[in-house]
Amino acid sequence: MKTANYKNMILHIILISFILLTIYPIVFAISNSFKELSEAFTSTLSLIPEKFTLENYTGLFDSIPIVGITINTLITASVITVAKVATSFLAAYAIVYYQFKFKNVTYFALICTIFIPFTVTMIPNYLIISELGLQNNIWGVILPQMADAIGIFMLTQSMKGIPKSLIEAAKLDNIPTKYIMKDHILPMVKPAVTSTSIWFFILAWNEYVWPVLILKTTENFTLPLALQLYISSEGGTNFTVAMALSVITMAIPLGLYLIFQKHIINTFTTSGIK
Amino acid sequence: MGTIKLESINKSYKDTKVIENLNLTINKGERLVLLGPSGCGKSTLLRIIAGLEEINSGSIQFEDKEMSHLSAGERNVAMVFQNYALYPHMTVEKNITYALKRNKVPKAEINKRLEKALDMLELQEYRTRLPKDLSGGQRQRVALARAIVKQTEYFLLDEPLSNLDAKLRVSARQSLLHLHEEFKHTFVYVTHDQVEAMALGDRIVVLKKGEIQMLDTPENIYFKPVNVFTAQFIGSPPMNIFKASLEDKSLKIGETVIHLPENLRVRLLDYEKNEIYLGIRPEHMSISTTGLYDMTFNFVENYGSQYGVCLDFNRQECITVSNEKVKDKMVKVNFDLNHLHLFDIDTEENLIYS
Repeated sequence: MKTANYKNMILHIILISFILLTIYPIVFAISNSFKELSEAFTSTLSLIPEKFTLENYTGLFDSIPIVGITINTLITASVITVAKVATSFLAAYAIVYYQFKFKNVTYFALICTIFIPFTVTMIPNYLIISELGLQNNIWGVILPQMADAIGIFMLTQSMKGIPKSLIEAAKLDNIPTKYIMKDHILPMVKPAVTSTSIWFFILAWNEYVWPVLILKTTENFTLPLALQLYISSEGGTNFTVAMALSVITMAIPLGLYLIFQKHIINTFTTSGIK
Repeated sequence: MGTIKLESINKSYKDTKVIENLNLTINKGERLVLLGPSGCGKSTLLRIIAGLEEINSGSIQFEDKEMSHLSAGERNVAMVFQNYALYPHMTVEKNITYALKRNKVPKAEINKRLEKALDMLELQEYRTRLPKDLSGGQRQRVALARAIVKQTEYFLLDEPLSNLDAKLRVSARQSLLHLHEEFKHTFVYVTHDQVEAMALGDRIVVLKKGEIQMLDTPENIYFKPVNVFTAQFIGSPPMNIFKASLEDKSLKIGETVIHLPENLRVRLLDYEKNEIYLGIRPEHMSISTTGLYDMTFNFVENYGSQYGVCLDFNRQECITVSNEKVKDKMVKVNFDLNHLHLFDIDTEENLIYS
């Protein structure tokens, strides 16, 4: 019994340390975003501000077009997510339910693109976007990201789990393909659609390297780029404002999570059961 | 409306021929059972009729109208799948009405058909449940209800009872018969279960490797099988087949001479081979003290109402049924001479009935 207790204790200590390691930076950011600059420099690690101030947030509104930047980020992340899920869904449907020549080769080639590093396609993509005149435009950020083989893979796997006879039953009943997709496939792969959507949204929301290449002026920035303004040498002294911006950057995905929480948790608990 | 005609159907997957040059006419309003072991192509044939499988060549006609180029949806057939294929995210009611709604049947008509189907199959109290909350028998009834509301002439059933337990299967079989009485659809029913085939079929098609072995009424298939395969596939325990030798027109199993009745002897007059198969069903053999043939007792199987007695007749195994448990090492057995079958040693065809 005793050794079991010790084991339990050690396990809990490890778990609690992990929780602290994960949560601390967040709490750190929140707390410093409400400190005055001088206090932030003298007692950086203290969690409760001695003098509570909103100056950092109001300052943010004065120095950069924060509302526009947030909207840019929302549009970018949402359009990328919707586009990726839509293209993945259609591709997966074709792969699972249609018979065509070179199907397996096509699928294999699609999946292979997962293993191509971003840096390889970065320059060709950049040149194409420049040619299209989409530089310094969020659509230049969005366009190369409207399809993703990971999404195709996830949805293909999920659709393969649907018994073929269900689709055959619908076909026998003269149901057009668009309704088979909408009425049957979509509800049945909803858990996979939700989890890949979350994944795509977070990736797009946090994306940095590609937008940095495309977006040049502050009013076109996304939130991670704006954050960079305060970490680089230009705004490096404005540490507390950077923290305020960090809080805004993480608040929106968190807020969305809270709104859809019930739905998302349902997804993760039911997806394993067929 | 109601006749299905298949002409020279060929179907192969890559190099494997599944169905070869098959011809079959299914009459209006009859219950036709496709029976055969797994892999004989019976489900494929059903799916070809439904339009779920394309054929390599041949013609499919519904009442003289060519169907082979039409999609499954355009053929307007109702099908019940082995796993029922209920939409898991829809309630019973929605499962039944979904296709009607999508095909723009007027609402009042949908409701009328729904209520009738729910009443007929005793599903009223389950109408708002999801398929996962139903038992196997209830799911099967929902699948039937979904097929009924289509109001088509053609009803295709792909082993619809195979997932039910034995007791439920009997009652489900009866409700299928009632259903057929009510609507007089053309029924095409696939099964590997010979009891089901006998109970449901007006006619039975026995299939082996994509070829029709026999197409006839259940009685004829049982009493007048055209070949060894049909004879052994139908009946439980299966028909005993003995390899016999023919010398001077007398038939011998091992050293024992079998006395054939005159009508069978006539059949052998123009049979020129030295060997032949003799077939007799277990129930047409009887153990009795006055029996003509000596057999060694091997073991006994208990069937509940009867015993299956496994015997050895001059080193050939056979089985008979008996009301009493046999204990002796040697038994005497009689053959019912009216129920003997003779099969060609090479073609395995019945020399009496083909």
